[in-house]
Amino acid sequence: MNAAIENICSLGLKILKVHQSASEKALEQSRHWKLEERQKEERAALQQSFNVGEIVLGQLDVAMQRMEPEFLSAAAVAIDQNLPRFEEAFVTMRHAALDLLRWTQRAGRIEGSALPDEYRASYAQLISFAPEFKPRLEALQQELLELAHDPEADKSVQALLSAITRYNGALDAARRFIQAIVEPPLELVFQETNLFIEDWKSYPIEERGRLASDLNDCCQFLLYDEAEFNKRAEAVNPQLPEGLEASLFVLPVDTVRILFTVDEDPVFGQLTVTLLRAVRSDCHDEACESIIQTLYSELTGGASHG
Amino acid sequence: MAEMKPMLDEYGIIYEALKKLPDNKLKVEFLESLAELEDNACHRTRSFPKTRLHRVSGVKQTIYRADINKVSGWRLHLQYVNGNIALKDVIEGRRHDDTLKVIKTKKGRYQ
Repeated sequence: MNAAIENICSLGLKILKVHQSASEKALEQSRHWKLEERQKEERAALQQSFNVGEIVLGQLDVAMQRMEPEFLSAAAVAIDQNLPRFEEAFVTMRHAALDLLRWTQRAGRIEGSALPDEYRASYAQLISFAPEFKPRLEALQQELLELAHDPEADKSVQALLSAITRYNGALDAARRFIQAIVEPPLELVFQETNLFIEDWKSYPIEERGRLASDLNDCCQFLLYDEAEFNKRAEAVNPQLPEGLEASLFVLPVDTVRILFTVDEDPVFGQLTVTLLRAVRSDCHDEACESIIQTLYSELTGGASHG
Repeated sequence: MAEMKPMLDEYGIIYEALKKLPDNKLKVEFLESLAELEDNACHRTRSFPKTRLHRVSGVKQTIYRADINKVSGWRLHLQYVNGNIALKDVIEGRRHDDTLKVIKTKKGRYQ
């Protein structure tokens, strides 16, 4: 995360320096908008949101491991105390980043400069961190909800539940902020099949949290770092008619293998991840074979024109 | 007049379809399908009510499937190339395997 922050900030300063040379007006407006000072504010805000996240997640981790009133209360207090700082940081960050980008499109415009796009892409790295912890949070929320059904449940259960709801709201807002900066050309969409849902239900809730975390983490790389995606997921290459290549992948997570396809869909403006199976490694070959047969029977069965 | 989306037929799929389709009703429906796929308004709004155009899952090439007739299962395969649509194949319907039917969609991340 620190590396991501460093990347965003150094790119921001580089844009400022390079694009100020576009014209006198560019320089004048950058001073008028206080872009340089706001770059410093952006750095501080990014750092602050990271620190807050660390404090809250630390407390939540303890609460998850020891579901006792004392630790649940401590996590709820940590969220309540730190949430305003988190929200404040994201507003500063968003305004600084969006103003910098607006300036590069107006007074500071340099035709053909790749820097604004690089800066947008650097923000995408931040999104990749959110999915790592959100499924864990949701697993805890689920567990607390079950505890809350008991009329004798300690009041710390309810306190932490409502704190997590507020925290989730803030995280979603933060994610939307970042999305507004990044504006990826294609939207990432996950689709679940019947078979996958059946498999998924067979795993305990904590394991599902971890699997979803790894899956999100891996697939977010599709938006901005395909090489990293290919390091995490292995391509499956069945024999297809000439001119066709499979987009079938398997993601290994401990003893589980998640089979999915990744399809770029320019007509509907999305990058679709279709989740097909989630099986234990000893069943992987059989599941893979059966998926290939079902998925490609139409393409291999009929005549195809390259 | 409707704004048209360019459509390529370099493999003679229209000729092949008119030979293969068993009756006039299907041939007329085939022409209706082509009309929808060429209609730029459908592409702009991303809405294809007649053909239910959708991406074929599992291949890197941007291949799409469109219905000629939903019930009989006759359909078209198309490929999206540099902003144009190219007709690739006309396919006689067969039953789909429901196990791979998509039943839920989640945007942005999996949860």
